[in-house]
Amino acid sequence: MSGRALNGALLAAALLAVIGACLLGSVPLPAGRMLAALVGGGEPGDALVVWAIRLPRALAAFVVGAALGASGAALQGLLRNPLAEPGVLGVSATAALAATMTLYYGLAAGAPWLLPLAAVGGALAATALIALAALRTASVVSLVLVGVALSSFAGALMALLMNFAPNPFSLADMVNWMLGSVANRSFEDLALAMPFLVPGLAILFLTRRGLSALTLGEEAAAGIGLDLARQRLLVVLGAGLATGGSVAIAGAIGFVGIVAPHLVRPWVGHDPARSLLPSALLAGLLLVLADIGVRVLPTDAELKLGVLAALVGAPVFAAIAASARRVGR
Amino acid sequence: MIALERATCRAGDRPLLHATDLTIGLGRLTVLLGPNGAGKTTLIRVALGLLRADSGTARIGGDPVARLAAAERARRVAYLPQARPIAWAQPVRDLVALGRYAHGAAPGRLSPADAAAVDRAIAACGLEALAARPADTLSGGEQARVHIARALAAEAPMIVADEPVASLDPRHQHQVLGLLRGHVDRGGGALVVLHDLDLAARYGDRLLWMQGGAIIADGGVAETMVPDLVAEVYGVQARLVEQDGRRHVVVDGPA
Repeated sequence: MSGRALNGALLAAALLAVIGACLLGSVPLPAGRMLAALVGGGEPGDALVVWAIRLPRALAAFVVGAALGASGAALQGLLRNPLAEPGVLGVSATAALAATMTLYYGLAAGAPWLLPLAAVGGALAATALIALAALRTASVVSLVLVGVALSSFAGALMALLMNFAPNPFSLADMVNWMLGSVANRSFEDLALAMPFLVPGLAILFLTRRGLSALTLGEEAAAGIGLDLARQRLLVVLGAGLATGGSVAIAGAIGFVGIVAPHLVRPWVGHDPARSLLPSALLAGLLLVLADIGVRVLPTDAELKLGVLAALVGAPVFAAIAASARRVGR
Repeated sequence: MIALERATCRAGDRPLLHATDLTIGLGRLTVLLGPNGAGKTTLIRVALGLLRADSGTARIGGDPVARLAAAERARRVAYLPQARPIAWAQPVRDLVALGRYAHGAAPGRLSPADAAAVDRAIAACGLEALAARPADTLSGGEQARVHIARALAAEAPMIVADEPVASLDPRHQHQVLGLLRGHVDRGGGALVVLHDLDLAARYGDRLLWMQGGAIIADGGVAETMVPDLVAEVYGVQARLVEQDGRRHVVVDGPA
């Protein structure tokens, strides 16, 4: 399958999944009425259900997944490490912590754009820290350990905030950010994150040829004409913006950024450049499907999307870690 | 092609490269010799602008490297560093295609001219049968040939190779040096770091002898591949054996 066919198939599957997600919910809505509402006709009540509740939620899942998939694929290419991912490296956790702080101090209520801004700031700081650590170590494992440490530290600070939570409502809010969810997201929530997500994804796509070059290691990549400093800066910036934007929408959702590139790689000749777009599409598709799963699973309280992602993703992560082979080192 | 003008480099207050003047042109295979830590890799990295000279200037094709864009430098000089990791299990042809990076190509996105250069490099290195093989299934010798092919695919006038035959068996050592020799015979230039004195005597046109961050001798095989200099630079006792008009070097042991 060529890259174009793969991307087309993934995009089509994602579209179908989004439409499927619009069919499901507490109010039964037959396919005909749902489609009518989707294209702007139908009854006002149906339109409300589709446009205000189900479609933004499904699109939020897709956009968040796409941002995490692209960030994961780009970070893996930059760090030449199949285990690199915003969740594993502590980028999502740091962004979620920064977002939670604006909730804790009650800042987000007055200025809604402050929360995405904080999330992006946290993500950028964490990505830059990881990139700095990567300069000092070439080892796959020690870099992941730095990420684990960062993740734990952000988690500890988050626990501290929860410890001092002024009331049970803000506590519940914080739990939402920590576990990750796209429930009750509106188009306004999406719009607030787009100014970060879109440039972030665009920057990542600009770096993809450089990601191919880095397969030879940094010294040889510089040798064949890659501007290393610029490449590092752009990937950190792009992944920070995209991950921060995704956290602003959904909180911390782990592992999807590692699973999607891993599945895509054999289809694109293991080329980091060509794995970027399909990784984004597949990760988006996976999160839309996972969110459908969250909604149809007969649990008392709705399962959080981030919980399901971790339940599926963590074993895959372990399997990749156990089987990771490195060539020529 | 490559020129150093009073170039120096230091790490903290430890000098890695003393003020060095050097010009390396086309049409000759220049071998850089010297013990571990003599500054060979530092000299190469300064010359290519991958390491900033603390004083003096490095030029490629007349232009100071500090003002040369990475891609333009790569079109003039193909560089094969000492460490040669391959991060992903990419097919051989895609790795060789990375040699065309400075020409705007990427694996899976090759212009006809790029594809032709890649095919020529693959053929020169005898990699046709391996072209579709993933890199993680290759032996050490096969990987070394892939890296050489990647450097040749750039079709840059000058090739700089840092220990290209390290950890290769004798047959592959000769094969790799034969490929570099062929590049020079077609009018290109090469700067090659070697640790095998016999190979240096056989393939080199010009030998640069480094010690303690300085070039202490510079000349042809006949003038500089002599026991006194080998003893001074490497601290070993060496004999020369002239046979069939070729100078062989036998190292007997520590001096």
